[in-house]
Amino acid sequence: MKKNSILTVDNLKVNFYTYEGIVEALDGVNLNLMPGETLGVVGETGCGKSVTGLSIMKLVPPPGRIEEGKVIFNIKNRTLNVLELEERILRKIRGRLISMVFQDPRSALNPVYTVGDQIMEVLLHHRRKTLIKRIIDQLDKKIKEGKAGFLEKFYKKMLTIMMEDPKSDIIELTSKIPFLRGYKRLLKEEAKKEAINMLRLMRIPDPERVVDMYPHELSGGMAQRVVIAMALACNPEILIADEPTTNLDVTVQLQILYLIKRLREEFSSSIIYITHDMGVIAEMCDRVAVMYAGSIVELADVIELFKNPLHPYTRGLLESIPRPGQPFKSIPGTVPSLINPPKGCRFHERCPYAMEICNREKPKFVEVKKNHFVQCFLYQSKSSKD
Amino acid sequence: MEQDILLDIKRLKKYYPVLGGVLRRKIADVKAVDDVSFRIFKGECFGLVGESGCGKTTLGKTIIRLLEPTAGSIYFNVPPEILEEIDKLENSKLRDERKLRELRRKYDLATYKGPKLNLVRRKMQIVYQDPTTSLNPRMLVKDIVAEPLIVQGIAKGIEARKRVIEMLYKVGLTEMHLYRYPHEFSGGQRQRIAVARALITHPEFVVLDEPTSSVDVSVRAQLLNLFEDLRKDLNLTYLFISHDLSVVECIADRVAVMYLGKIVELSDTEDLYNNPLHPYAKALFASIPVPDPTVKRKRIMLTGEVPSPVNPPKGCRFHPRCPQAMEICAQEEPILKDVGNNHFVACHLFE
Amino acid sequence: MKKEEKEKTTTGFRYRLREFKAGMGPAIKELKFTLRRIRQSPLSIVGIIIIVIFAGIAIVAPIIAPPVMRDPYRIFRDGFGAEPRPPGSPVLEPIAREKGWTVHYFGTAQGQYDIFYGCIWGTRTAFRIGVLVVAISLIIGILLGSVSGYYGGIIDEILMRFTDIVLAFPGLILAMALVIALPLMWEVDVGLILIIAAAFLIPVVILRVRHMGGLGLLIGLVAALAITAYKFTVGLPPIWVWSLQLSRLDKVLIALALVGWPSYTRVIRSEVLRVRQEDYVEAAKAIGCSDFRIITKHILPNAIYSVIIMATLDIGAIVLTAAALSFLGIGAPEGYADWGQMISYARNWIFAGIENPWQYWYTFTIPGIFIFTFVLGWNLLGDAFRDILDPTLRRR
Repeated sequence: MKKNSILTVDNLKVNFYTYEGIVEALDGVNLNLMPGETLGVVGETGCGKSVTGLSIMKLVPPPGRIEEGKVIFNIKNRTLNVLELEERILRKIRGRLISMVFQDPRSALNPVYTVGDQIMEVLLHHRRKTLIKRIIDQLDKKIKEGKAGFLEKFYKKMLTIMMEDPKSDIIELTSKIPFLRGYKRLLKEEAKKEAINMLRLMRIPDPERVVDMYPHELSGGMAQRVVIAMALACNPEILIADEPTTNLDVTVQLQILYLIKRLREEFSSSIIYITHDMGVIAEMCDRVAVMYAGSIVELADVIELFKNPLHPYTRGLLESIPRPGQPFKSIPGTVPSLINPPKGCRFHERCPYAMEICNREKPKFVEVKKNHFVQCFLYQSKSSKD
Repeated sequence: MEQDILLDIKRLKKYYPVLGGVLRRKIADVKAVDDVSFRIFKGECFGLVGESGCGKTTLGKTIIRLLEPTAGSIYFNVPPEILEEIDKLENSKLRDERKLRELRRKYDLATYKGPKLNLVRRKMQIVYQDPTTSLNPRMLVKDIVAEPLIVQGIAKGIEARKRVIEMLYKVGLTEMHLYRYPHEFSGGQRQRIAVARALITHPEFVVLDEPTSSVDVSVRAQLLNLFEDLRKDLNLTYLFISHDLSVVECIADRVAVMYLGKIVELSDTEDLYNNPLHPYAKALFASIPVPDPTVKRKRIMLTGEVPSPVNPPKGCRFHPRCPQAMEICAQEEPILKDVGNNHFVACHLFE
Repeated sequence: MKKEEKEKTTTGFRYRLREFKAGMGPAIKELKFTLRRIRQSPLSIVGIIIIVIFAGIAIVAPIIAPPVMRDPYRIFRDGFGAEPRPPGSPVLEPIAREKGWTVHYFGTAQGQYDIFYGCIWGTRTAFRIGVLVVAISLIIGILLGSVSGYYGGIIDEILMRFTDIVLAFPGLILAMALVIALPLMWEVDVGLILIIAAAFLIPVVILRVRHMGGLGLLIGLVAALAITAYKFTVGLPPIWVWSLQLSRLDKVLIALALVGWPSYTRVIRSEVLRVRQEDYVEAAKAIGCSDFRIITKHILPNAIYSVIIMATLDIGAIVLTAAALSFLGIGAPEGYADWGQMISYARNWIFAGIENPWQYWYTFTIPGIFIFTFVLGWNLLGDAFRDILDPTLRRR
């Protein structure tokens, strides 16, 4: 894969150990994301696209386990394999460098905390130093103008200490005494201002009022904007969006898609956009990866993919989009069970072009045209030499 | 060609009371369906689209009396002469109230109760959106599909079994599936079971409430083909409710667009999709993402969100968000009118 | 020819047999699945084993502890001495020796009641009390809870307030009060009860046929209450009186059932409220199912899980409560084979002086172990049921 990509997923294998058997959810997924681009991951239910998104952040819930593979994050001239990092460092990365937006905003938001509290939580966890610095600058200005009293100077001192060493004894001591812990309040106020700012950036009307509302008081579209605000609060390098508009009305979906497009420019994030809707892919993405039953079967630029789909599954998917005046076409059969998946190519049972070899071996993921990768024996020599 | 009218809905309303205060008295109404009138012809597939909260599901359920209508009339399979007579009586200045009431009691589905209503239930059925929750998880498929026959007293025992097997084959399942629980099937198959259950009493009218929203794209096409085949085979009339505009475009003969409890536009499918007149309909159709990256369609972005149906805006309900709102829109509600070629719009722009 | 004709029988025994066998298929599959899940949880296996062992003891009680007195539930006394005798002491009483008793395996309690006998036959008592009380509470709870949850409105309000009132009384104290208050001989006007039942049921049945079951229920309830009120205020002549004799134990049963039903009602009501909103219930209405059919075939089979778990756990609790009542002296009668009764005989002998304080350990430890293990078994079983039957945890 390319050298200057910001994220590379290499041969990712994930299994789920369930009561009924071992579900081989991901069977060697290969992806790469270039800085500033939007990569679409499209596939049907159960193909493993959500699991891929979660694996990138090492958030696969048990009984899932990441068996093999690397997720290489290329940032600030450092290369990290996310899967090998320990929790402590991962916590710093999640939300800060890589963020995720989930499908259902109602379950992504905690119903007992206000919207503002939840955005502030993200800010206070990851951008504490930036916020403190901002407050200190404000206090400094006040001091220079001579408007500062003793309290302000004290606060500044405390905050400076806090910035360096949040766990120092002085901080512990003063946080127990009521009068002296006012600086914490300053921090919260600053965080709240920033949260309101984020809401405004999401084009949420009347953000000062919304910041104190609870998730159930918001409509689906607004709630999703809040979730996006939380995801972008720390200006992450990579945003993973897992079907963010699937549950929303079509007019609201349009608003959110436009919002993401605009934020893409303002925040210069690279986005992995997971969806099952080909229309959204056409609207949003620069490159597209098509997933089926746990592996990427085709990867290409979006225009190339729609014009020239190579993999039979991609073709079937594009043909099954309903067109007026034509009968409905579908792909015969159903997705195979991933417990004891079929040997060889996992699509061969439904493929109209299946050959003898498809039953025995799994095709490799090769570049057939420039920047157009397919995993199919139709496009490989039978000797399968890479 | 004059088609037979299967359903004539007149000024149907469904309000939900909002209780508040210490004594839990009614303080407001959620006007889920507010004064809707239209007709559905025999044998057609009538599409009903709109976004969440517009009342389309409520309308569908109220028509088949799953919900109690607050006001209005539903005329199901009423001979055209009677419909004309009712029309005349309602529009005339000197209304013969007693005659009207008599006719209503006889023909108006909204007034039916008890066994009379039960008889009609055979003729109108519904297929729900989520087949996982619409099938009783503790019942076997054979019982689920046979239940309507038993409850309606149409058949039992071996006769019922025969019909169940017949219906299962019609929807693409086999008798191997009789002795299984719903959770043993995939989503698409469960939906087929739900369809079998709905069709076993040979209804004339079926409400399809977002029947393909919970299933995958590839299964969707199979189900849609099934619906089409069954429609021709069993002479059915559909009310196809969906928020997926591209699917409705392909399967429906006529389509109505709902907003906040009212129908704002109604027309033949091709006419509507190619030439939407109402500003909301225009924005709605323009917001469908096109699966073609080279097409840059003109987008109409609406501001704000759908307001709550508890306090709909005065006048035209869409006017606060309408890019072409005029003064009259804030004061008077527009009426659904035929602007030519059986294309109905409710908008002051077309009066 | 004949056989083919027989195969095609549409009704009658053969057909039903075939249906039954075919219908067993999926049920057996479900059963196998359940068994596998049970096997995965070792504690539940322990619970099952414990209950099975106790059931076995209860069944073979007449064999391993042959009755001496005429009423097998009366523990035989080996003399009338006050001081308990340790396990292994010989049996002296001639009648007992005739029946095969040689040794007091667990010793004797105060008054020379044989502890072994008491514990073994006490198992039967424990099962009787636990299962009967829970069954009665369950039935009342299901009836009231499903009606209340399904119809809502004013029926729900009335029933729930009534339930609240009963729940407001502290359980044990109410049970004690009821046990004391219930007469030993009860003159029950069965005729009046039949009339009240008829007044309730006739409107329900008639109106059910016309699909207005809810209204019928309301009328029936009002009629029944009206007659009851009339009887207690103005008075009605006796119609058909039976005299019932209630033993002390029956009083305990009735009292505990009367105290226990409110919790079941609430749980079932909340489950019914939840299930009522599911799509398949609405679909059943769309088919034309009557309220009765919806409640019995659609709602209850899905709402019953929490209650079954609760019932299983409750059996243990009821046995404990009954033991408490016996310990206080208002439960089982004197000399009855009941674990609580056995412990009450140990009251004075728990701490016996400074020198050898635990010398009478067998008087309370052994019955205590029986109670403890019995309740533990049911609790484990209840937990096992919860893990197995919880539909959300069931699949994966």
